Amino acid sequence: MKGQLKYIFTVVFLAFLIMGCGVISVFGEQYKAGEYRVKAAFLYNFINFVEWPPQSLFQSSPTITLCIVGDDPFRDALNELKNDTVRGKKMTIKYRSADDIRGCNILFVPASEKHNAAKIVRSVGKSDVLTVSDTEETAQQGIIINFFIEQKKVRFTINIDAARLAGLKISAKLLKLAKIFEAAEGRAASKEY
Amino acid sequence: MQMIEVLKGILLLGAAFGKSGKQFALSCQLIKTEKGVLNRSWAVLILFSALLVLPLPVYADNSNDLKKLSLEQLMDVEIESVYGASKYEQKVTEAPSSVTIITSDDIKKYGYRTLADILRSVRSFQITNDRNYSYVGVRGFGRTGDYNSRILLLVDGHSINDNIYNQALIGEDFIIDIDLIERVEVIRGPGSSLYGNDAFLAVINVITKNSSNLTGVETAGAAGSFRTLKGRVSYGSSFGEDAYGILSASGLDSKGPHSLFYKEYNTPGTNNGVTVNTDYERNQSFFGKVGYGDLTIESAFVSRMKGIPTGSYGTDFNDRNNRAIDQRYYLDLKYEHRLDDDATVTARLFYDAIYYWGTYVYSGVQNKDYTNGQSVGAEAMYSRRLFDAHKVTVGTEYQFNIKQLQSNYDVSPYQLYLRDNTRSNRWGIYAQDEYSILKNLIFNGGVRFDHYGTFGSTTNPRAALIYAPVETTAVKLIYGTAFRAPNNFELYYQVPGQQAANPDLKPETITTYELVLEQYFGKHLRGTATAFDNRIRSLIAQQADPDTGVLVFKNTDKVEAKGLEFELEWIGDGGYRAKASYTVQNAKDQADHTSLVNSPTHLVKVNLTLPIWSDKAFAGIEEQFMSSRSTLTGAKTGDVYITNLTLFSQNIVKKLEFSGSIYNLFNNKYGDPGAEEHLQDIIQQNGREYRLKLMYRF
Repeated sequence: MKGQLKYIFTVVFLAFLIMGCGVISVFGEQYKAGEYRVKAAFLYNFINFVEWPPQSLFQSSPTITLCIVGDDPFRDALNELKNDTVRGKKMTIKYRSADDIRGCNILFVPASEKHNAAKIVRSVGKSDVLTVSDTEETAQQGIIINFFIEQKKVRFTINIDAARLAGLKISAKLLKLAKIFEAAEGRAASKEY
Repeated sequence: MQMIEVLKGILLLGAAFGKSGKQFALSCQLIKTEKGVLNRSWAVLILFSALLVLPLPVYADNSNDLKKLSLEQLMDVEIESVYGASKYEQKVTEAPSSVTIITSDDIKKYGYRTLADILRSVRSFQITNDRNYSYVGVRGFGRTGDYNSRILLLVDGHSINDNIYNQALIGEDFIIDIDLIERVEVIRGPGSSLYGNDAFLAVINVITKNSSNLTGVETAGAAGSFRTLKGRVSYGSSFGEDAYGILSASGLDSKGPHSLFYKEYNTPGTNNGVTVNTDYERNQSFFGKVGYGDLTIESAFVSRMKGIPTGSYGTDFNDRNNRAIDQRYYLDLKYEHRLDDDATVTARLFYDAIYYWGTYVYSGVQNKDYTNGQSVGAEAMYSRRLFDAHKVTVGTEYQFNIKQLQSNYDVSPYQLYLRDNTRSNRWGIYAQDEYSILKNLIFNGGVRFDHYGTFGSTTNPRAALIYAPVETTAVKLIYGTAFRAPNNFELYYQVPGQQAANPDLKPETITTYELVLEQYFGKHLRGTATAFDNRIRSLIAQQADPDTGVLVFKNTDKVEAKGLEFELEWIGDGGYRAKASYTVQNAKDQADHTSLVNSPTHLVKVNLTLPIWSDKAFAGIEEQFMSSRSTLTGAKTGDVYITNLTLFSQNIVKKLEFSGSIYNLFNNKYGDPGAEEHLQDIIQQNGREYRLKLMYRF
């Protein structure tokens, strides 16, 4: 018992030391940012990893239109994207309602529209629109990319079937980073690690 | 900036180490050990050496432009305190099996020390321990004396069942440190239609962390009951957009209970049944993984020394030299390429090695088992979507056993009893089709043909029908067979007068019928009900020749195991989680219709995670009940109730994780059935145990 006490004490002593170091190293702080600024940056990145079909309007148009339908959760976070140039095209942001979502290349469906998600997917699901959301209910309705939070970091799932339906090709690189929407559980049961 | 902080830390620690160093020198005893094993001060030194590592490149803190970050870097950005975000929910699964998943989050919150601890919480799994190895029983089948060769244990898809004993090691002898585990997938049922050998009762796939969840330098230290110390240093980093690397080293030193009492040895000649300082355990393990685009190279090594206090195999009681040293190593090269949305190709090359030393002391003379196995192999797999409704997978695997050496000898005076070295090979070819007959009706059929140099060939199919009448319900009907090849030990190990070889052994077979119901109730609750029927034939069992008493392995037994399982899982917002499962099962030997040894009729498992302070502190509670089991003499072990409690905290102090665990909280006395090699009918297990663990990320 004495031997045990001796080194439990040592370990606790160590613990305080390590904590002391922790308090000192405040400077090497993990970079933090607002949730929607990170999601905006992801949207900006996604454009580089998605292939729109060759005959689509996207290829010939000089702009990329990102539409937010319903209550906009991004607010200022999208200011960084406005008027940026991606893949030789200018980014424009438009705010739409669920009844009128024409002319979008990327469509973000926020939580406020979760009841309309099915309707939205029906109208644009077969056109080459990259649909994105961040609510589970909307992901189930056929949205292509869905954000979720895991251990305080932004992650996303990709619904390959929905992408195929929309005629969009998702780069293997993006697929690798995503949780694939189909059969996320027990992949080893089908030898998919 | 970074350097100054690290240097300050080192200075502080140096001062402290000076003070406590003396203490350590006093309490550390250098014990003469077999080659390649650490003494306990090394375990702590590994912890300290982390501080000497140079600081890592962190992206410039003045970069407000998130757009400049790559995808991988974006995935590493922490968002400001998100309170109440629930974990991603997995909807009705399309897997052709009943699957349980344990995450690294569970590992931290329930204080799991080993894979064995993890499996103790899994529905219809049971773990028994004889103070040498931990053994898995699945769905009522877990006879004493089996070496976990009926479960296939994979690490990132790489099989770690060795080529001599086909043993899956799940304790501190498991090749991966528990902190490196990202996720464990437990896939019940026969898996030979895809995986071949050993996928008899279940396939367990352990997925290790990659650089998105292990970045920078991480150190961990733990102290626990029975003078146990464990240390780890890990380093993870990404290099550009495509590459990443992980390196990790761990060490463990446990003295074990100071003394154990066995009434079977209670005679003056055997120290009145008291064995002192013989239940020790030490290990060291290393892990490395490098990913570059589609290529991953992974390598791991573990060395574990375990004192054997039970006097098994008639060895001298209370002799510290009775021990087992297990070493495993593997190197795996994997290439995984997505050809387009519809097809993937995977190719693997692997090398495995096992080294084992068993020391048995008889009347003061040390008898040693020395085993060395080495193998190389390759696997290729191609998966593609055909005609929209079919997802077809085909693959082939080959393994060449370069060396399968078993030997047995007395050390001094030297006498050789066995030296058997064989070479063998095996290959397999498999195919699977996942056919979406309707949008909510899937047929999953697969078959694998295996050819073994030792016994010939075997074909194993699996068929499953998965129907989801509504989005929240799934019904699965599963049929499958699997095999377990006789291993090198069962085939060729022989010592004159004690054990005879049997090269004519045939593989064991299992046929499983399973019905699974999965139901999602709303957003948070999921329920599962399963009925299973396992029919096992040609079980390889050790038999004693009635005249000579010489042991030999034979294909003799026939077992049928049937049962029902129920499970409810609730995932709430804010980190609340609850899971409860109940299994009722019956495993009978078909020859005499008696229940199997070590087969509990009832298993209950409850897991609860409660947030105590937002996302900074959690309590993890486990309740495990196992009903009474039969022993080899027909006695009963009695019911077992175990309660475990863990308090886990993160980021109360930045980047620090701290946990305290109490295992077997109510200090219940219980034992597990002994095997043929034990004089003990029931081997007493430990009472209450503690652990304190710290993890710090630089």
